[in-house]
Amino acid sequence: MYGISSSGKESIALAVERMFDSLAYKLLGNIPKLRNKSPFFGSSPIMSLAHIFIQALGNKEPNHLERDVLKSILNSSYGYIESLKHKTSSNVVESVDALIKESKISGQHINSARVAEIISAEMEKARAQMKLIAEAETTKTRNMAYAMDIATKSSQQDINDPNVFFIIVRDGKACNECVRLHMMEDGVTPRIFKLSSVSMGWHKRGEDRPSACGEHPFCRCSLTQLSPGWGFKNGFVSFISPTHDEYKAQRSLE
Amino acid sequence: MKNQQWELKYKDLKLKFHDAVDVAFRLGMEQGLQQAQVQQVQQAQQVQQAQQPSAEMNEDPNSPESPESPDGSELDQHINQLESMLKPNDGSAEQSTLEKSIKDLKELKNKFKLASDFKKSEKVINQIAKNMKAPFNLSKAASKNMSETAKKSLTMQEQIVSDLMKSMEEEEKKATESINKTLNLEQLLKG
Repeated sequence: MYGISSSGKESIALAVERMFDSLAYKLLGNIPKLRNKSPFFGSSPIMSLAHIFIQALGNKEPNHLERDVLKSILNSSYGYIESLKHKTSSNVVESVDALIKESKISGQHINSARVAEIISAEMEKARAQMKLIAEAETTKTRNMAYAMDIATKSSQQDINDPNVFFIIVRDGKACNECVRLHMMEDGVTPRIFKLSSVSMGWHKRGEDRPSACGEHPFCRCSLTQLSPGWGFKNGFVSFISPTHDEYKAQRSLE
Repeated sequence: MKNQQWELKYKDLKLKFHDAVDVAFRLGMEQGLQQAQVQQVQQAQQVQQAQQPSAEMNEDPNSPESPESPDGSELDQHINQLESMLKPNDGSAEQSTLEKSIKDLKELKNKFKLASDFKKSEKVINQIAKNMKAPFNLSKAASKNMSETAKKSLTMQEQIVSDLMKSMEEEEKKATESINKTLNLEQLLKG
């Protein structure tokens, strides 16, 4: 029993792939891998991962190392979108083809509304995964840029391993994992870490090391440096004394 | 003389003994009755306690305010009672009126149940909508501890993700149109 022709399947897959290429362009910008895919991708989008990276770096021109980090972030994000693209295009082609085959067996023609329904069901899954990728990759880009900025600034100040902490952005909606990792037992004072102890990979729930990539896909916690002499008063960053080391002070309490 | 004294003493002691037995009997009876009453009360309390948890377990834990269910069960009991009082159909006007009333009562009960279900669903949907539309706000500590650059990049992140999801909806429509065109070309669609 035959359904859609092979050229028809190719054409459907192309329609879905074009959609993902356009989304990848909007998220990642005018990267070389996308540049030649569409005639409309000649210019850069208004905002992309690269813009977040530069903004998080402090709005300065990135050096060659920072450029390289950005390049690798964009590449890995492109990889995630590509895999979702292939998966979704295969799913859409297969489900539309199955619908056509079934209609042919029953001797009926299907209408466009039924096809739209099938596509919508597949796209629903793709949409949720795309949002997950976008959220996770933007969080990772932002915090990686913060980490690079902190590392550069601390080396300029002759600090080998700077003190860092995560700012919980939404107090009322912070998840238990973020609160456990980023706050002291009082629930008000942010927990201090050494930059070297912060994980640069994806976090697994239950681990004791916080991650610069975020603790979960919709994590908004932001990595920040705490300069020597500074600490916290009621959860707010405040100057304590020139010799104060908040990391040591917190560890002595534990 | 001595014998008479012993006899008097004996009679006196016998009377005292009988009095004591009477008092003891009366007291024993009273005490027994009291104990029986206390036991009855205790048993009644135990039965009530055993019934309460099962009733609590039957209630939906997510709906603390559910006045409909006890009323509903009471209404059910009354309907059942009325139904049991109904004689086998003898075709009388009274019988048919009673049957109609019971039917109406059942419909009314179903309506109440439906209304309460709607009310619960509405509450849940409102809560979900509220959570979904929650605006992105920086907490007090975050807005003080965070640098302006960090705040801007966070806002940028929010905007990029929301723009991307909007354009995904548009691109999805385009892709659907394109797929429909392909299927039309292959003459697989109706009309």
